[in-house]
Amino acid sequence: MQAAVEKLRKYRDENYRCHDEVLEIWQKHLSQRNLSSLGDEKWLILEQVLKSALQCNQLDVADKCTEILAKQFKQTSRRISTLYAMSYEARDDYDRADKIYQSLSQDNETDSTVRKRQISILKAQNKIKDAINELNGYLQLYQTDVEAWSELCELYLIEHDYAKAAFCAEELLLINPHNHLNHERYASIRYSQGLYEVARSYYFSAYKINSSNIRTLYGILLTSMNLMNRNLNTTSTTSALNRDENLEYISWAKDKLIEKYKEQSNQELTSIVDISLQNLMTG
Amino acid sequence: MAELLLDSSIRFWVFMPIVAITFFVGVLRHYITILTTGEKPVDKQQLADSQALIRSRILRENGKYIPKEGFAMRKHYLVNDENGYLTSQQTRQQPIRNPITDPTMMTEMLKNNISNMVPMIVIGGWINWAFSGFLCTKVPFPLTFRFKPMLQRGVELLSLDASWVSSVSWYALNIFGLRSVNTLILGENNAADQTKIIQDQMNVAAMSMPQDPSKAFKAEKEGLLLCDHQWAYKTIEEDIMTQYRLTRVHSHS
Repeated sequence: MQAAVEKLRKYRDENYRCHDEVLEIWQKHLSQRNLSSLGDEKWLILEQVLKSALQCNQLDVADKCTEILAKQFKQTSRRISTLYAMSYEARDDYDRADKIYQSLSQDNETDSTVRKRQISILKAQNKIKDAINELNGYLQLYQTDVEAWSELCELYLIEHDYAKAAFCAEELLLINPHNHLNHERYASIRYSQGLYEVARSYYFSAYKINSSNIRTLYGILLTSMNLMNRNLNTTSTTSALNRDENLEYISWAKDKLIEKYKEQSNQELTSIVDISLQNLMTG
Repeated sequence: MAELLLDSSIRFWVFMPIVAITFFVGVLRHYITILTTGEKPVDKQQLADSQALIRSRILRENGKYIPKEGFAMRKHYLVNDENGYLTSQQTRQQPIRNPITDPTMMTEMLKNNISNMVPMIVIGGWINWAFSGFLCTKVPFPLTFRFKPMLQRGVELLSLDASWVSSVSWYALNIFGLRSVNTLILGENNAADQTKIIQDQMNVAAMSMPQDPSKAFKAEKEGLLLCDHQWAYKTIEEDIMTQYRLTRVHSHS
């Protein structure tokens, strides 16, 4: 039991996203026991299990948790109200959830969780435009919220608004410049826009931070191919130089890719990769 | 000098009670502060200010990681002379929060003072009245004459050895000495609650804003104006390729 509690605490404190496991721990070790020996941590665990249960659509578990929590805390508690609203959300009852959130945000305008939930309701209802508007309003206030910028980037990508998505990705790069996934995301957006030079620079920088990122190698390969093909028609000395450069990048990326796949030592996979790389080169 | 002997009932009726009193007052104060400091909502303007400053600082520090256009766009947004964010905030009229006219600040200050000062004065006065004139204990080493006012408050005897400790001074020593014991017993924060910490992170930044944001905005604007863009990835392709060529040459030779 102690180990289970500690594991849950670790997941909770470090924001792990493994809701299945949380539920499994709960069902196996904790749900039948008397948790009052844990003191105040009991309520935190219940909240955590409740959220995981909502995530996994195990509504009966969630209901049990809300019941216990509601018994302990007053109805006026903001946190309990938020949990209630979240369980309405899980049942697709967005109107009731939104009503609760609205009354909560009237009390306290600077409650970021509530505003984020409201935006996620809009997203769940597929009102992407409204969600974007709301999220922009939110970001006026919380200008350095990484999660919000990342979400806005996703929303713009759904709308195929690459320029704005790229702006959000730049913001992510600024806030956290040493995460290779941010670099890769920015590069991919620029690639989709057809800005291959910038894209390639950022694929390279992502590779520099984490050299086991396969996507960056494919990115380098594709950007270089595209750049080479673009310059194919013009025949000047610079383009010839460019061509050599690009060819070097391509062969380098290809070597690296094959090397990486060989490390996995999966014969079948290696041959498939070989063929698809050949196709890419000729295509 | 003749050796001084303390009555053993001093131990039970003076020495121990003082320790107990200071300890329980500490516990009581802990709970009173928990009760009186409610969650205070963060000022929206203050929050926006601090976030803008943080973002500008991040741009200064990490601007080299984004392309030049992105940097110039953000810099323009923040510092251009007509309607840059920092420029306009700098000239914004600040409502001066005067602690005398602003009642919310008054109560806030009062609350702090009540939980800190009043018990100190009341309990201190009471100890002074009830337990004055006792010697409680003796430090096990000789001390010089100048320690006398520190350790023997309330017992002004010239001929007394300086290593004796009077009851009032014993109380004063306890206040400071028991602080760590109190944190040991009351500070069980291992069930600290993550969601709250996350929410507080932003609010703490807002709280730590200086009283006069326009000065901070001005300093930040000047800092950003001085900052030029040097793209960190200008030659990244070449860098990696040369590195690669070098290793290849090494492995061949």
